[in-house]
Amino acid sequence: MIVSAPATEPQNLALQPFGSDADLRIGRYGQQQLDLLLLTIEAIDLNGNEAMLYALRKQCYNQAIPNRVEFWKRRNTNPLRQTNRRGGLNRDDAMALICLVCHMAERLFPVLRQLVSSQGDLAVSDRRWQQISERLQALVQQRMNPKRASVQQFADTGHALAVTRRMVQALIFCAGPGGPQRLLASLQDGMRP
Amino acid sequence: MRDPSTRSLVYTLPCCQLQVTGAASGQQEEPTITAFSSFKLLVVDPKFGVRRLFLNGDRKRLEALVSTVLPYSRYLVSGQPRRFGDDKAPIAILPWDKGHRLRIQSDAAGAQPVELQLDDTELADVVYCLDRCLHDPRVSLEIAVPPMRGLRKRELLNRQPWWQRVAAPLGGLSTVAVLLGLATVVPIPERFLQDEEQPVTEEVEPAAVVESREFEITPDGAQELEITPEFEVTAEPAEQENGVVQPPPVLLEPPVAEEQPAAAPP
Repeated sequence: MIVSAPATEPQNLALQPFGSDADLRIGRYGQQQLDLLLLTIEAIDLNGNEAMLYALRKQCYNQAIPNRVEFWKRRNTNPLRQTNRRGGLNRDDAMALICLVCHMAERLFPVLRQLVSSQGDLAVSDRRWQQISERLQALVQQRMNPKRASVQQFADTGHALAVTRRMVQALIFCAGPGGPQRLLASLQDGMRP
Repeated sequence: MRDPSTRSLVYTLPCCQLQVTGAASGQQEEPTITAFSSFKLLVVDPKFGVRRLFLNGDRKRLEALVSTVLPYSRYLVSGQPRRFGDDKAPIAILPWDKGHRLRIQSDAAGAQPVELQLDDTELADVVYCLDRCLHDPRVSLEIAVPPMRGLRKRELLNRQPWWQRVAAPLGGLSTVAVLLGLATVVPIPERFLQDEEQPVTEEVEPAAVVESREFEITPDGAQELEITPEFEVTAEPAEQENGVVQPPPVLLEPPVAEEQPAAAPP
């Protein structure tokens, strides 16, 4: 008997297995990357912000991030933000945001596949990349501190495109049940001596 | 004839299909694979419908696939792809020409390994299927996924090319060398040179000299009297004034009388 398993079954974020003693500390670099991934999701999906709020409400993360303002506050822990908030993310906030990114990556998986595919028309693919890169560039310039050197680098189109490609590649490999572990590990880069 | 207790679960994506087979238990509607027996992995080209890879095997081969492909994808999330599995490993994967090359060692003796070039889409599909299978509550594979941790600082530094990494320390060292060279060219001022030639001697405070003389007025004139003062060293305790202990008086050496030369005989 062969049973076909639904490959795109929506997953419950609250059940993501991080383990009870998992180290969920995220450093400065991790906070930047996490916010940049959320911005990339917004650049890909024009209604991404509302979709993320809906996912937070639906996936039982109301205690960590109950509303839009709290979501904005958590995102402002990014040191590159124009209205930066001191202090890092606690365990629940980090878990909520990581699972949110993975959930959105899974939701956008067909679009991400289309973007990174080498099978389609190259000109169409380039136009898509350029469009998303321009949106990300605009979002970064709108919300980040323009005095920061890494934000100023976004004025360069080539740099913005390279960052967009890296973020999309990170998103596509974050999708799936094992995505949160991979994303958490990548956000903790450089924290080990 | 197929064993009725054998069940298969298929995970399908446009580029990849993974089928796991094993002995099942539970209800017919929701069977649970308790004893895993084999798997089949199929990678297809969705544009032309061509089969690109067909991999089947037992638990050992699936473990090799999991321990190679999943850590590789974790490094891709960090944006730092690196090779997993050496030439003798049953399955190896390495970054190759804007994509990824999967190398599968054949079980047959003397057979050449099979190599397959994958792009990000195909690899993402394979990773997704493996993830779904490993986290599926209907399959008790009990295959340990390798632990995933953040990269070390030196691994992050490897993201930069070597000439960018050595530029800062090399620039600092060359600046110090240039400054030291300039310091040897600049002449030393003369005042510093004179001070070096004349060594400084420590000045000693001269001892106080007390002279006591008495004169006697005589009709002939004033004559100096020779006085030999008497000094006595007393061991009396120091006097106290208002509770403050006074230091003992310092006794000066008596002046030594110079010997007069003997009068010349008349």
